[in-house]
Amino acid sequence: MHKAARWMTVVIVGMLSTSLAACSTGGSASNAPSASGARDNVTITFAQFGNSLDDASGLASDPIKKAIESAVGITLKYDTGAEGFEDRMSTELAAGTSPDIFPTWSVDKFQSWAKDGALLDLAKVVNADPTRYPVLAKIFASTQYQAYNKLYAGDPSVAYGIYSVSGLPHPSFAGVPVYNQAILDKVNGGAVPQTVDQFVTFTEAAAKSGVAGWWPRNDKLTNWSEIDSTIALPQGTSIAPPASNTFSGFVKTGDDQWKLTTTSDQSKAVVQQLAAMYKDNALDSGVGVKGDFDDAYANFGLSKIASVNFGFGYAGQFRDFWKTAWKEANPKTAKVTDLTQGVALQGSAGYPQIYQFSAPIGAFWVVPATVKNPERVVDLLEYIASEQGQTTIFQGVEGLTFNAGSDGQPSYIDGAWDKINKAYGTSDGRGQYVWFDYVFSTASMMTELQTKDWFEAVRNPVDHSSLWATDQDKELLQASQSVIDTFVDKVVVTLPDYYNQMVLDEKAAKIQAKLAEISNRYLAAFVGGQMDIETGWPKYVAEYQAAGAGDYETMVNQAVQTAKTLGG
Amino acid sequence: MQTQTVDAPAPARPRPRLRRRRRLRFNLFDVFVVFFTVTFALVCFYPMWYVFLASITPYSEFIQTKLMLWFPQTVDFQYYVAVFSTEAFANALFISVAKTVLGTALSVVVTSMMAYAVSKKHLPGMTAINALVVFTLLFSGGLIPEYMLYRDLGMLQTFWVMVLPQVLSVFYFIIMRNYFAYAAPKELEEAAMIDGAGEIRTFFQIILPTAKPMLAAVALFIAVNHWNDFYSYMMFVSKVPELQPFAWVLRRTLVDPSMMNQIRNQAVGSGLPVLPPIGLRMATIVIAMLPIIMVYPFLQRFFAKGMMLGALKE
Repeated sequence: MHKAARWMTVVIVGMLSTSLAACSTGGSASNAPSASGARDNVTITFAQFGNSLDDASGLASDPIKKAIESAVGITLKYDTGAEGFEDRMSTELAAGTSPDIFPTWSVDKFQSWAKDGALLDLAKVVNADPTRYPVLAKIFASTQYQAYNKLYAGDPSVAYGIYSVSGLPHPSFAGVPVYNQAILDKVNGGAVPQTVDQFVTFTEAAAKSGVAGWWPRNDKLTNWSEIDSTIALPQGTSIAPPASNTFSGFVKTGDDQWKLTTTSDQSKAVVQQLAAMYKDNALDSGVGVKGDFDDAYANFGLSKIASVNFGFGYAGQFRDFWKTAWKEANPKTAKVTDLTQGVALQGSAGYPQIYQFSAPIGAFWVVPATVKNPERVVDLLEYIASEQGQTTIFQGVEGLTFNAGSDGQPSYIDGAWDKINKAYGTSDGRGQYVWFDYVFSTASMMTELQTKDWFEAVRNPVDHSSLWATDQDKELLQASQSVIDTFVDKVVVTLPDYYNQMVLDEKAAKIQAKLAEISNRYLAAFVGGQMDIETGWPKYVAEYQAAGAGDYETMVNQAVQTAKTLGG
Repeated sequence: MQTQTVDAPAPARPRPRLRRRRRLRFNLFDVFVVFFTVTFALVCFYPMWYVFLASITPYSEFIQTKLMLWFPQTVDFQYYVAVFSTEAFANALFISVAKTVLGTALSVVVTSMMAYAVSKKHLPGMTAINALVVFTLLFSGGLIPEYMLYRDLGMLQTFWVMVLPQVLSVFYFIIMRNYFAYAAPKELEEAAMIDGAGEIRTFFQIILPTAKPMLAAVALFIAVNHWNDFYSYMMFVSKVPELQPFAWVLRRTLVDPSMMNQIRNQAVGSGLPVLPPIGLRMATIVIAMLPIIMVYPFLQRFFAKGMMLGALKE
């Protein structure tokens, strides 16, 4: 008995002491005021999606972090994650323990937090002392910024977030395949397909020669954009389901008039074409199973796939693709000319028409209303917006990551950025810091906010990648750029600015989610051969209509008209 | 020598009849059951086998093989070397082992003690306590109140938030309570009392030893839950990378490109070539499965018996 009682006492005391130890290691940020007075050094936590913080020594010796800390007079803490990141941010915001600055990609969440009073009005802080925050004051005074304020907060003078615009210096060139030149030579006499029919013939010939004909970037059969742009849009239809903030699934039929064509007869014919390709491995029969960037990249590098689309948003992405997919697999033999960028394919309706918003909002960066040091957090945002801050993030520290040339252009020091960024699990060879790079532009490019108007700066970010390019990189960039230049005039249509003010309500979002689920289910089964298209298509159409496809089309057209009235 | 060949009655021959009856017992249903069971077992087993084969197959052979059934022509352990050369893995394994061992031990001790107490219906208030505990199985306050509770207890961003909230497992509490109430030998309990043992000594020295099969089965389930749990880290500890459990590292290896980059970078730093992610993922999954697979045979003898305990009333 006594022995048991002693053991019990030990267990209970042990549990109590471990719990107390747990409580004591709860860890609060060190916020001790410095003796220097005016602006004490405070700890600010900045959260960003998808980096890694495992490398403690790399993090501790990060010179860019140190440069930012020194310039703003703060101690920076980073927070990150991929899985569950947004849910965690929401929970922490509700509990008052969230990072001081963090992003959300959800308009609904942003508006809901704003409505609940959970977010700091950045404009109020800035306008209280505009001389302290000159760049932000200029941004918040911008007419266009205030229009977004009105859209999201209902008041043009209230800024609950930094709107990160996904503008690009050059339009995205989706729907352009890249070819393995050796396979192109072998099965197509080296000729680059110009039309959809020629492309299909090429992929079938490649499949007959024992390799997959085409990988259209679609590892879960839910991302129809590349297939749509390459095959469907040139034929005057869109097989893709509607997606948020885009005209995916729609074809323009007149001035500001849009028709949802996902389940049209023309789409049915395109799906039949895709199913036939899939059956023959002309459309890679691993689509839906293989990963895009892992398996498909690797297979393309090993010449097991004849052509790929990877949704190249800008010229530098082709360069990165060549390096990671091709050169890594063929380190000794890789040449720029091994890969050939194709052209947008023409079909029965001519070139595809790809519609782009002039300034779509890609992310919202918010500061919680309960933040301890609002002025200091806004100090950090001001620094990031300033020319000095943008230079630190996109060029680095002179002598460490770049050397200033006599012409004023920096030349990058080989490997310097890689060493810094590898600490955060990034190894794509970019010449810029992986943190803060998309606070103002989701294209992760430098924005000239200090010298230009906000709207102009974020719509035309600076693609400085050629500055740090090697000769081979420059060759790749030029090759890519020439393709883009010929492509843009014929294919890309930038929508009028008032389209940026389009808002679809929650009901539309729910219908959109249902339609996407239905399309993904049916299209995957049709293309993969699990469902007969002739018998299954009427069911698909019926289910689509029952889920509110007609209503959705009406809502989109009404939203366009409303935006035109407000912003036009 | 003559042999009598008169019409003598034939001796009874029971054997053929018996054989016939036995043959009849193996009917179509048995065939179906065997077929179904074997098929189901294969369906369960093949994915694990596939993952294992993929983790030891060179990539060039892997992408050329449509259906992997047997060992590759060349067995290659470079994915395992790459995974173990990643710093985060060793630490994550340690955290997971600590979390699993400590969490399981605490959970079994606390849950069994509470279950034993609540099984004593003559004690006042036990029915109410039982109802309160079971209530939490059916209803919860939700994530945000839970998060705020841990915040107020100072447990956020600590190791203990991955262990202490799971110390009382309500589901296993119900199983244990039923065992102690209906299946534990009352005679032994009474004999111990007559010999002068108190409640605590009776519980630890008399009751618990007889409940070993049940405790082993419950411990295995709790251990598996702890080993596989990454949600508690993801929501409550994610600002402290040093406390990542292995399940979270595995999850990140599967879905987070920054984790995959890290493994590949460190592999290159260790002198390995740039490895395709698919093999690295497969090796990570095998490593994650191994500890539980290794523990299972030692607990198996308790397992079948333990599964039934507490299920029947005397």
